[in-house]
Amino acid sequence: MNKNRLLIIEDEPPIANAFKKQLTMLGGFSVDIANGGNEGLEKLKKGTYDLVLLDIVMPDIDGIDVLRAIQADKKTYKDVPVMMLTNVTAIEAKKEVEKLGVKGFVVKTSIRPDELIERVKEVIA
Amino acid sequence: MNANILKLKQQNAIAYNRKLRSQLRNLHEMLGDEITDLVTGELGDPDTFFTEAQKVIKTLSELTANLSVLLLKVKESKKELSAEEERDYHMIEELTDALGNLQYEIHMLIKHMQQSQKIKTFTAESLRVIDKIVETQEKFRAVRAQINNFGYMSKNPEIAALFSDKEAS
Repeated sequence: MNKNRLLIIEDEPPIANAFKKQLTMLGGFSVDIANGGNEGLEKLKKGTYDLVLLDIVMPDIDGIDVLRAIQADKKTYKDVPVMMLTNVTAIEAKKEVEKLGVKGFVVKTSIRPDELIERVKEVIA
Repeated sequence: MNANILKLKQQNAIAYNRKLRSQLRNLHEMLGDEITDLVTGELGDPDTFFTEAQKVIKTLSELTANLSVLLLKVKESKKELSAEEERDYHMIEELTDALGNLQYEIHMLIKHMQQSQKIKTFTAESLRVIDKIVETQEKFRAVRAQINNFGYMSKNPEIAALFSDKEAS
């Protein structure tokens, strides 16, 4: 049984639940969900995760600001690796998050479940 | 479910997906109303734009999430998609990408408005939002043309009747 723990930070419950289902049932990961950037940062402070899957456009604080917060305080957020999970494909957004050290950029509708599991395992390994 | 609808869905699980069709109808209305108003009316007034844009982002986010989940479910439910289904899948995938990018541009515009009151910044970035709106409308028109070819928002009265709201699922 895979003991790795993932955190999905995504404000749309249908998307968060769909990916949680894929990651738990196919990948055997333990998965938590945060429904926004602030909740995500709180969960990261309190818990330990092997990877964060992070949306960009969220109403409270967006994924880019969540990334900045994680980068600015590696001790509090345990320097957790982050992979973007988003429908934003704009080059400007990709460049912005790459500058902030993301470990991957996944487009929600393009990725097959088995590819997602593989990408997650690559980052965690 | 109506046997004829079931038969059509077996041919093409995307084109004849009632929920997908319903989401596309909602998007069609939105692209015609709220988003166009945002460009033609509110863009000239930062205060109104800020309020309306946030509502638009919220609705776009829900629509995009619903379309994305429907596509994910289609891929999960069928080991292999037919050539027609693959084509429709990729077309709607491009539409969700356009919607995602449109949300991002509107979101960044709001963010910069909150951080700065400089009208110059607002004007320059608002042009990018307009470009993304036009791009999204073009992607939607392409999907709509394809949909009409397969008849589920059809001018063919028999097929349209199968998918009318009076049909119970």
